[in-house]
Amino acid sequence: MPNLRPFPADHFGTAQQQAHAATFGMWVFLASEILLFAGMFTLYGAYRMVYFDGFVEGIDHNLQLLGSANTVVLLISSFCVAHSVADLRDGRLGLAKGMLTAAVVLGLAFMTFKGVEYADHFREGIFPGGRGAFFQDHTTAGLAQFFTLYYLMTGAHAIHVTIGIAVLAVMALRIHRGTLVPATFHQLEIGALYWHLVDLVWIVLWPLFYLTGTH
Amino acid sequence: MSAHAISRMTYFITLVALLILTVISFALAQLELGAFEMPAALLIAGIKCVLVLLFFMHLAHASIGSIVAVLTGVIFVAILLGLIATDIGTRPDPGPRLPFGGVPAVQAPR
Repeated sequence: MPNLRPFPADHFGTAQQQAHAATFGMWVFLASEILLFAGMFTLYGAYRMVYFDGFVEGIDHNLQLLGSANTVVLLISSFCVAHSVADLRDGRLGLAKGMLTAAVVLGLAFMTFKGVEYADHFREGIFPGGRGAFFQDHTTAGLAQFFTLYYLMTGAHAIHVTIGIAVLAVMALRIHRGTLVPATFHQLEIGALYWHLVDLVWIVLWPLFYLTGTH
Repeated sequence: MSAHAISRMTYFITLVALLILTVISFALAQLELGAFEMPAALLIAGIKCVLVLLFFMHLAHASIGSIVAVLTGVIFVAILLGLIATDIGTRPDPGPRLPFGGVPAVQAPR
């Protein structure tokens, strides 16, 4: 038998109280994550107002189809994760594992697309801080700021995606090993909240870096 | 717990709605909307975020404490973005701008 921690823990009166405390803690953490990204969104907004032409040129230069494909990939993965929480709650362990695995695969697909995109930019000589051959030929003011923010914001997001993939993979493994059971499904729900946050951030990043150019 | 209140069908309908909004947003980006492009894109992104929050993240059935935590984050983001936008939007034209790194260079007027 797998070694299960006592649930609820000693310092909680009921299981529901422990689940409630854990979920609330996660929401507070997510609110702080929103503020972290808000700082970057503010930088984007401020620079875009000052360097409108450079930002539009930068967006036109990004691979719109690849960015849009990534939006669809993350939305579907979020659905899979939400589904897996309901599956675990209802004791459909196989389906819960399957949905989590699908989400992990979609997350990896997202990172692959992102890698292709970064590689494409590196080849063209686009590096953070306005360094690289690209900026010798393209001198519109604001391009350097745009691509620096592009790397900063999509990079911070990609770190979150990587952590999210790891969390979901561990959850799937724990269901497989029997250490994550329907009685403690709130643990999966908390991991799922993190993945949905990753999705939320990308929903806003997508128009900022791929859609609002002149195309 | 909150997940009890939401069925798998609701998740599926939410996903379909999100994908439809994504297609609409993509289609709008192909049109030349000019000044309306950014507000339209952000409005759709906002609707998508609310859908994810309410249904995938169960905020519609979450405790008051969780809702307050999210609203606090959102309100402070609005204050940050709003005040900085009004600051920068009402500044006089700063004239020739420094390129990245702060090294002055000759630049064509906009």
